[in-house]
Amino acid sequence: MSKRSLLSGLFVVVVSLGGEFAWAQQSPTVTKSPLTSTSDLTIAVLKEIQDIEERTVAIAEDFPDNLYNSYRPKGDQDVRTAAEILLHIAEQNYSYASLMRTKQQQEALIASGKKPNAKDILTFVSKQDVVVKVKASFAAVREAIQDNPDPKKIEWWLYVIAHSNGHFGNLVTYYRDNGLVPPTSRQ
Amino acid sequence: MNTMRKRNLLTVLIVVAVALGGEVAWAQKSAQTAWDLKPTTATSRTSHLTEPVLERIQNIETKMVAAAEDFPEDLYNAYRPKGNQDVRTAAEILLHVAALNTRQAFNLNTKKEKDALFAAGKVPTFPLNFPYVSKQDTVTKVKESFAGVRKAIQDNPDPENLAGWLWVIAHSSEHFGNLVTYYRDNGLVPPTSRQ
Repeated sequence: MSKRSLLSGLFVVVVSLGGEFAWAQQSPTVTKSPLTSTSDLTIAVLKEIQDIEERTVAIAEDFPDNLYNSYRPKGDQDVRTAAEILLHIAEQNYSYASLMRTKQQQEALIASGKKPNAKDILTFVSKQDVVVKVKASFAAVREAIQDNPDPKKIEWWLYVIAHSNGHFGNLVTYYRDNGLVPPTSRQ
Repeated sequence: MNTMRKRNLLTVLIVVAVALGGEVAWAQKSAQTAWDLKPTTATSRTSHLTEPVLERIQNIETKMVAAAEDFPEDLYNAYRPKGNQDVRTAAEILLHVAALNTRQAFNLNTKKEKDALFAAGKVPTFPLNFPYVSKQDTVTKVKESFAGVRKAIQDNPDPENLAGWLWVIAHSSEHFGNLVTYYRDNGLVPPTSRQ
């Protein structure tokens, strides 16, 4: 009798959970429909970030040594060198990666002592150091999006795409200013 | 034997119940982190996703139009870095952005809207650059192209198009960056950097 009761109870639970599960499958939050899930959104964003990351790193590695932290259009000291532009991109990437994280993730990063200092990022050390900083900053952005794929953070994801592309455009013209062809335009 | 069969059935049911319970727990977790990507109202046809995208496009549009209106007449379709004829003038950059925005706006429409444009004979041609006519014409084309992109996003706020929306932001931002350096090349301060 008691086994029969338990069996009946489990049937009720199974039917009930089965119903919930069926509902969950129909729910738009669970059903895999085209580009309505968080992961699908971040895939498109991460792809665009990967694209500008590759182009920016290519310039960071390729821009001539003799111009790297010396050439400024018209020699204007108020205008950034290529190195300063790249370090500015890196600093902003780190800054906005921080905003993309949850409060808990931000606090954990600070506690780990791994949060880079803006002044350190912006200080020019060498071409190789610039390349490392640019790469690490884009990696930080990608990691922040993957760790917190909350679409409410899309404003910051878009900022990184727009900001880094804008400065990439500056760098392309720095090549042209010096009679050089940027890596992305070479055959 | 009958007791044995009941025990087996009981075991199977427990396994099924636990498995389904896990699935439901997962589903609930997904529901908590999910975000409404559908239009907030039927009339506005905007969504939590398209609002920030449209804001970002409006931001680059404002900056691009400012440069289109402000870049000096004597340099507008004449200055090229190092005089290199393979490099676009400011006007050509602006008309290239306008042309590709127009193409992308068409691509971002729904199939129904595209069919309607075909039927009305309003299908745009898709050159890589619009030909230069005048500064005023360039300003108009840039404005119209961004308006076309915004309209396409509002009319068809399908998140499937996110990559296309991101492309507009990335592409126009990159070319705005070119224009900023064109100002600096000529010892000028771009409108967005003026106090």
